[in-house]
Amino acid sequence: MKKFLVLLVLALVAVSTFAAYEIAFIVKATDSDFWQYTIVGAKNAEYDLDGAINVTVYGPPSESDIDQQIAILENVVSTMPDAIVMSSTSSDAPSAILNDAYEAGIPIVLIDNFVYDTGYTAFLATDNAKGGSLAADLLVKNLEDRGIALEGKIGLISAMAGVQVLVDRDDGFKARMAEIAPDLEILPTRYIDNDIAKGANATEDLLIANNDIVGFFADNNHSGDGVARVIEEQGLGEKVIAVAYDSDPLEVEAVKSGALKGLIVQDPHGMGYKGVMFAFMALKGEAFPSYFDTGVYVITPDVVDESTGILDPFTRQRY
Amino acid sequence: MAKKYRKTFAERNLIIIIILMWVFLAIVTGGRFSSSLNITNLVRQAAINGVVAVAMTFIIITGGIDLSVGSVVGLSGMVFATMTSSNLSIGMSIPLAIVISLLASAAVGLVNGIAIHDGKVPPFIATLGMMTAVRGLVMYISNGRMITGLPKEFKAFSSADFLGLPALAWTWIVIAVIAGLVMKYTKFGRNLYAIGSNPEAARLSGINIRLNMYFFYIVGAVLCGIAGLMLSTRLASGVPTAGQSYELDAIASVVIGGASMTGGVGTALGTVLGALIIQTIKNGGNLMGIDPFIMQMVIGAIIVLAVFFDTFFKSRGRRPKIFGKGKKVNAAQ
Amino acid sequence: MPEKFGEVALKIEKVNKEFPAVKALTDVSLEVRKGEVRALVGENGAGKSTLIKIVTGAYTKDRGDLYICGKQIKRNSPLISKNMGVYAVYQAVMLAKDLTVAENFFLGAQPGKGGFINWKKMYAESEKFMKDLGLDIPVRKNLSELSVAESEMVTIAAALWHNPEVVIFDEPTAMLTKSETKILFRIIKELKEKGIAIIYISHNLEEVFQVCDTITILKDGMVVDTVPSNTLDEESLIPLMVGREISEMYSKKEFEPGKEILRVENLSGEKFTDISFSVKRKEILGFFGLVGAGRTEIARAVYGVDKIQRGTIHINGNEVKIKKPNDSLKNGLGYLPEDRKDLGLFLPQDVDFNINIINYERSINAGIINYRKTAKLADEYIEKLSIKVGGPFQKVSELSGGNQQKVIIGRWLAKNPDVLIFDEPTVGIDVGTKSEIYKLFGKILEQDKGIILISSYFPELLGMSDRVIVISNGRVAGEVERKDFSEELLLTLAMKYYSNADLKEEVLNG
Repeated sequence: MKKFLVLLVLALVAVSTFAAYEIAFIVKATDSDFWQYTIVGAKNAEYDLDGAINVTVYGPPSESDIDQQIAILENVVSTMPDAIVMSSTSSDAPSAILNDAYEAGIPIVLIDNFVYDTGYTAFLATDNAKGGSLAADLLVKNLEDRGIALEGKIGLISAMAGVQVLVDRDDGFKARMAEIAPDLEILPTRYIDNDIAKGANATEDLLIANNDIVGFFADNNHSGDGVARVIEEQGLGEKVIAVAYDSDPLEVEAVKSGALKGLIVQDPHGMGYKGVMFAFMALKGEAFPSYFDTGVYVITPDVVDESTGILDPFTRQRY
Repeated sequence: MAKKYRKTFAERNLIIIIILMWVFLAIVTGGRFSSSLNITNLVRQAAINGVVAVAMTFIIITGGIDLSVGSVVGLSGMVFATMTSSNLSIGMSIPLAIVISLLASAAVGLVNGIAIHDGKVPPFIATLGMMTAVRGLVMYISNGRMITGLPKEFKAFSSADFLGLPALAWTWIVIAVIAGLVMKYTKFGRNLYAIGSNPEAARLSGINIRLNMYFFYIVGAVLCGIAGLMLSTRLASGVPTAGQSYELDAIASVVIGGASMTGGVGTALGTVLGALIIQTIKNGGNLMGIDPFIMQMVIGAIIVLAVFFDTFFKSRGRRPKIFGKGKKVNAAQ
Repeated sequence: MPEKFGEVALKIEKVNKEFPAVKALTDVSLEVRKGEVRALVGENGAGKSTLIKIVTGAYTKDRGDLYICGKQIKRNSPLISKNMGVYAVYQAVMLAKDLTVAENFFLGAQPGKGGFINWKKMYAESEKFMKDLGLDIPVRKNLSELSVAESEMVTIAAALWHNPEVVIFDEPTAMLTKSETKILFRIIKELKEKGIAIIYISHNLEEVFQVCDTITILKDGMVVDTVPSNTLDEESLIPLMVGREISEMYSKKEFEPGKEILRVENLSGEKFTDISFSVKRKEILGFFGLVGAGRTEIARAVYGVDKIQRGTIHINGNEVKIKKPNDSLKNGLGYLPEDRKDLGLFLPQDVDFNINIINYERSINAGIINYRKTAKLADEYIEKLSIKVGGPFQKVSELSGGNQQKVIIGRWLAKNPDVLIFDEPTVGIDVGTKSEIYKLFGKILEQDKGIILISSYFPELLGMSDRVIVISNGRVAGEVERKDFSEELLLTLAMKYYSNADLKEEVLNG
């Protein structure tokens, strides 16, 4: 009997060691749709590889828990997974830990956010500045279509101060606006702690403070939700052109209702899916690019209905 | 010698401060601040945090603190969204869903009350745990995702007006007035102050501490539940992160409103004024285009200064016109 | 002043202090010499505590001069006065509760090298110091582990540790047992011999005459007189303090006791067993016993604060179940605890609140409190007890200690329960108010009520009670009728159930 048990344990160890690669998938936060979408992508990759890999998902509850994400990373590294796919909130904090893991032979795939001073296998991200400039194009086109003169003011609502991807989006937006509509003044950025209600408050206040506002750019989904809510409530859809980044159900509704004229959407599903696939390819010794732009989609009201798979990757859930 | 309701030191000063701030803002923004649309916006913006702050007032007067208010805001909104969303299968009627959301909130309050009174867990710790656990529950219910498809009538509430004020502001006003009257004019309110001032003396005075404590925490949680419903009509959805860090603004409002963290002191009116001051700074800052980081510094400074001046003037005994005329008073032996 | 004392240690000249709406001190002058024990007497609110707080630097004076050992102190603070050698021993222990006795002595000046504390030295020195004072208190214990009396003795010892020039005792014996009081008096005598100036504040005039050389009488913030203690006695002192004669301190009205209202049978709890007694209408039942005999515990159990293990309580002949204070309130039972400030007062609230908290049913209509009515009730008792207050809506925290006590007494008089238990009702209360409280006893009885009076103060107990139940070590040792009252009999009974010989000795010597 005892012998049998020992054999059983050995067999289990053998299965878990040899049968599938352990891939750790670390997201910035578990509380947002965006990261849930990447998880769907990662899990779909696991499903498609049919037993070749095991994806375990880790992540702190909120994006503001940078140190908690580091702690999670430390714990993950100590379990010696076969590969790590990580979207790091901080570009510096995890450098040493990741580099040690990389030196120890664990493939490191970075997604969404780059980390300095570490060896890595591949980096997959959205060109956020490019997304920002696409938002500018979309905004100006909408103004022109409605015959609104390209003068007056633009409100910029940012989810949070000091987050690099948001800074890139805002900078990309501002740079493109300066090119194509130099007479539109972009108001000082309002930060809203990623709180929708605060986003709505800031939008209301900017509308009061400036009666010549012709547009808004919101640099993520929660700030977009806040802007859309006010435009919807005050019925400003045709006077004030709002464009937002990212997507969530509320933003999608707003695009359908016309409160938002378009969304700049990344491909979180692709990020998760390809990130895991790249890790697998690295383990198998196959070739892949070390930088990959996962691209952005521009979702306008006329295409919103066909874009369900992009807007809500849960519909693509295969597992 | 019947006396009318006497405003507390904090209340009187806060009213003056608010008036000064409003006049100042009206002038520097060229009347934009005082436009009826902005005042409407201001009270609506303050309303949700304001209701949470009224809830916090009850708890702080008992000498406790409730860090779980923000999570209860999130819970109630999410429960309501789950029950009524047309995207989901339950499709419950609005009134019933409201009742269930508030019952869920009340349950959190009851657990807090039991942990604090019977378990003797310090309120800070008990509600800290509750804050985390309830937020986890909200995430679990929603899978960390936003829920939309709320009934139209419900969504319309946030933009509805009544007698020139937003319905959300009326909700706040009604809650604050009722809370103020209950605290001042009912046995329940007097028990609240008694327990907060001296729980042992309250017990010897025949006050049932257990039932009252349960009740305070339940009332606080139900008010947060109402705030959660208000927030989800404002957001037109159930948002898993809704209400996060609301406890901080609420505590700040209560403290600016003249309440003492050691219990026994505080009023609903003071809290309402405290919440208005905070929202005035935020709204005024946006209108004037002040750097948001500077606004943050100002709000932080005001919290500390408000408490500083309150204790400073009290300890110096410089309280003008506090005593009645004529009779000689023995201030200290 | 007689020549036998040394030079002036503390001099106060024309000191004035004003609080909002009240003049606390007016032109107070005082000189205390080395080796002199000076009593400071006066009614509650006479200005004794304010004066002491100015000397110790807790308050700043508005006008006047302060000299310590000949040096003028222009700007005073608690630290400055300590450095000048002025130490005050307050009722409330003002030490670090979570440190050991020894650490408290050495606070801020621990012996040792390079940041490391020499514990051995610290304990040895403080142990020796305690022994020299004749105190048997373990110096390695945390203060929080000591009894109230023990920690007060530590406070006193800590003051002496710093070789003070002036030591101020403010009601030092309120929490002490008789034997501890004796030790205190011995210490005071030794300090006096060492040439230290002492200020002694107490409502207990017996003690004042026992330990003090001179007496300064304060009234309404002014010095009435300073006299050598041997030229006066209690009777001639009281009118000076009160400003009027108190004809009869214990003005007991004689009533024919009526029907029995409260009967307690075989009550047992954690600290007492098989307690039986009864109270009749128009009767004052005294409770006597040594400190810790269980009197307060019995009262708390009857009132429903502490758990009852066995036994029954009958009110008006019917057995009642009392599990919490609210039950006893409903059944017409009231309890005024000894520690009125901690167990009775709602400090952040106003006088109206404090008086009405158990009386709101009188002013509630359809669930709404009528503040006209509450204020009327509060005013009635402010008047009756002559509470010095600006009005019913003044905060109790702004009242003097004595007036705070009266507020709580007012609360219970307003409640007017059938049986009211007074636990040491006059501790810390000035003579004038005392006599008023005794008169109120008569008024309570007039209304066909009963009173239980727990007291350790013989004149009060024997003067006011109709019968006395003596509790000894948690048991009823006997019942004494008024005609048989004598201190010896009560004390003998009080020791009945103690086998400990030391304890007997302590009591007899005390």
